[in-house]
Amino acid sequence: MIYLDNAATTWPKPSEVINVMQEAFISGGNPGRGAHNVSLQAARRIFRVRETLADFFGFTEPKRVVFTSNATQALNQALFGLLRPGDHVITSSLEHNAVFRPLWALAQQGLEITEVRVDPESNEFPLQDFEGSFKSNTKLVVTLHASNVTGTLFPVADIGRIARKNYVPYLVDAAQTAGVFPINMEEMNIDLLAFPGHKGLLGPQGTGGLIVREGVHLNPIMYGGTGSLSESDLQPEFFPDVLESGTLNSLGIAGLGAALEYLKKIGIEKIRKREQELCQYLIDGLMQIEGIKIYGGLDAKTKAPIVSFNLKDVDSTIVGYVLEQEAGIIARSGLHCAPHAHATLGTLKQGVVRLSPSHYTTDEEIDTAIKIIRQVATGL
Amino acid sequence: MLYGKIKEYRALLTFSSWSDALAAERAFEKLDCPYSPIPAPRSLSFECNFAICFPLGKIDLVKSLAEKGVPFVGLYEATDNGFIPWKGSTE
Repeated sequence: MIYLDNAATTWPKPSEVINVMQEAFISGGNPGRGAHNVSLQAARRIFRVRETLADFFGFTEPKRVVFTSNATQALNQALFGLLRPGDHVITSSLEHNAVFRPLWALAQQGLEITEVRVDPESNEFPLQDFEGSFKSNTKLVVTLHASNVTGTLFPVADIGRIARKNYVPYLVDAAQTAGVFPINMEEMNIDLLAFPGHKGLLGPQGTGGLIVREGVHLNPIMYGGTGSLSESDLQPEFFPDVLESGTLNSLGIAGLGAALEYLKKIGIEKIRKREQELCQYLIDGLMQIEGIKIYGGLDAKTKAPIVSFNLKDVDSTIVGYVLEQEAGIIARSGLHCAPHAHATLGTLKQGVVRLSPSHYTTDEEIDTAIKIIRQVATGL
Repeated sequence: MLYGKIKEYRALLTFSSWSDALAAERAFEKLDCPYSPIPAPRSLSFECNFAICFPLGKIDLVKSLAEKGVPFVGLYEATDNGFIPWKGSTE
């Protein structure tokens, strides 16, 4: 198998992740439930990961790192926790359904949405369109950090600066960038950061989080036991308990902690450089194939490590299927949970084939992928 | 009734959340001050069920905790007759 679907979930994971999860499994304990030593040890493991994540994302308050089961849950918590009927939100045309579907559901209750068109084929980012979209009832700006379809990077620090100038919080969906690109919430003017644990951060599935800057108030979308204020019918108002009801995924979070330590040891700059080199090698090879179209530009250094393409007008799902059948190449094809992005690209019918290497991917694997794609193209 | 290390240490901090208590543990470690986590007595705590006891002689460290941004809800001296709020303790 040649695994080139790391934008969906990274594989393999560092062995440290598996080892630490096994240790946590054996150690047991429900963090924050009871004052016995087993619970305490589990709580300490979780707290260490909060501290590491805060540090990793340039944030000073570990308590405001809220664990979720994925980035989607984090985004839902932020959007449903903040927005009300009659509010206005500014977003982009490249968003994932993890943002669009909650916004659509809120729009049925009276939320007003401005969708700024972002063209992945353009070198110009429409910052002025963001700037011109603010209204008196604008309550949030929410964008990707990078498109999951094309890898297109958003200038989040600039968008955040515009949002801050308008006294509106900025929510960033870092699904494709956390663990690959440096993210400093303070320096990049980010008020809310949603991230998955199982993609670039190299942790296990079932992990993710939302980091909430002080001063941003969110209503919880889930209520229940927190291990605190047990005698009260009211949800605690303090972080992280206010947004963390129910038992946490302590095994997964332990694994995420090990993954973060791995990333710190290797260095995300090194990882990003390697992945972008592989993407550039892939792009250069694919560009030699007649009838290929690559989306989102040809310079890998300007994108998240994603290479999306089509062969002539062939259904992308067929191309993806043939790649797996012919050479065990695992690609994501079809639509990518981002219909507005496909509408922007004009690929709603055809979809796209997406290849996303990781730093574990070898040059030889990319050579094989290029060779097989050329064979497929020749046979069309 | 006094229990565990509190019988020896005689000073007790209570917290509103586990995160605050765990942050306090970190602070005690950095201050190189002995401490022990113990269950918070029900008579004092209805918030976080995890408290930290430490030597009464180190009680001035509480000021350091506040300066380090580690919030706590109560500071007590443990006597044979029960827990007495420490004079001058702050929220």
